[in-house]
Amino acid sequence: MNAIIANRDVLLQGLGVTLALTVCVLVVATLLASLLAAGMMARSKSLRLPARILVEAMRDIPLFVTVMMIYFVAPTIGIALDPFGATVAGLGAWGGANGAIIIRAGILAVPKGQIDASAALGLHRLQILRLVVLPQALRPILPPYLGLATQLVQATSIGALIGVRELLKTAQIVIERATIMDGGLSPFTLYGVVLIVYFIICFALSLASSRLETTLGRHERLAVEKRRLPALKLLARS
Amino acid sequence: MSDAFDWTYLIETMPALLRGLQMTLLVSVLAIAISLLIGAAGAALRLSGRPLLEWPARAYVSFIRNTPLLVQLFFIYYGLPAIGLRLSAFWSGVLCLAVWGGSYHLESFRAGYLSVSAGTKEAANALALKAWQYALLIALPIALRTALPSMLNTSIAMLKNSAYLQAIGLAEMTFVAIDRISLEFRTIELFAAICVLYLVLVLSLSAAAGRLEQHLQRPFLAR
Repeated sequence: MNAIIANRDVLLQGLGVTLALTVCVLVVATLLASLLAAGMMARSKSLRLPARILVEAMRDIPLFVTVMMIYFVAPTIGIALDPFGATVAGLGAWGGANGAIIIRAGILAVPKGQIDASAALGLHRLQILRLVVLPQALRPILPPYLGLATQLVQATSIGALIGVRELLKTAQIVIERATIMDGGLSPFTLYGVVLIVYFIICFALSLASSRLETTLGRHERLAVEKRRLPALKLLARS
Repeated sequence: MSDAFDWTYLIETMPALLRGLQMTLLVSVLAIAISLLIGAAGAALRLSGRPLLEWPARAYVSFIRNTPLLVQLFFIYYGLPAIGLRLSAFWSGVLCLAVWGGSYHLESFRAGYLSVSAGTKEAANALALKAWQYALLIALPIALRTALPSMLNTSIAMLKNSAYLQAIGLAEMTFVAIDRISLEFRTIELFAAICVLYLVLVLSLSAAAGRLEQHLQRPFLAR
């Protein structure tokens, strides 16, 4: 435990890199997810097909292989990517594909009649999307999207294998250094601590996700109860 | 090294990659079998209705799902020997995947069991079936049908996650490919090959899973 306290600055730096990775990945993934979702729902088949293939391939190839592939292949086709960039690109692509599925499902959950009604009222396609569809689609999108975010936080640890100095990599370095310098530090303890740190971050996100699900779902449940059985609402309140 | 895609090289390395694939399949199948046992036992605890048994099952699911598989793997492979539990790369991999998959199977089993209607239970009671008879002979077969789709998904995810075992030096398919790359620098050929192999494997398994689901969804009379 002493060795961990002695190395806390290095480890905190690693945690900082993990968080920076997460933020970058989330931004890239969200942009890509919106594009891919739009592509998958486009009218023209020449847009739909490539979007579908990309999403399916990203979801079926192991994420670990995707990140490795981007790291190794990018330089051979003339793109210079450092380990950080390669991790962001790989996780961003994977997160984008999975995010696209979530966004698409959310948009499809909005009753089609509303879109027809908006069109009948003379709203433009973009207006329908912005004013009618998106505000309602956010409800089914947000909880699973937070779930995806937890998975992305966890996946940033893949960066350690290609040399990003994030939390897992710094833990590795600290263990190696301790074994050479002073008698050693139990990998059991340090990896245990790393597990707990990840758990705290991801558990908080998971908790937020399920909270959000209940809060956002409440509105709909009440509407259903009001329609069906007013007595149920009274029961639910008491 | 030529710039063009080298097919002869690909054909020459194929046997090595296929040996890697064998290892991938072996680890995955073993891990899936163990994870199903963990899932079933965990679900039994979770559904026991006794807080003292229920709580560890809950904690297990929550902890495994909220920590990275890679760190779990390092903890098992590098961390456990420090407290006297030394496992080979192979068994570390199997254990890690099984523990990971078990946490998902547990919830599938539970959801399946809870989906069995109360009427079925009442009918079983009326027929004077004992609790274990109801659980094993009535509820389990019905629950399995409901739970199967998500259990198959988890199993396929475990197969994909076996790629992580490259990190502890287990000679599965990804390890073989990356090992070759560091010697022969044929990045594009090797990654194309393993991506295609993974895709074929995952897509055919998903298709088979879909067929099985359809088969089980049919009403009893139609069979």
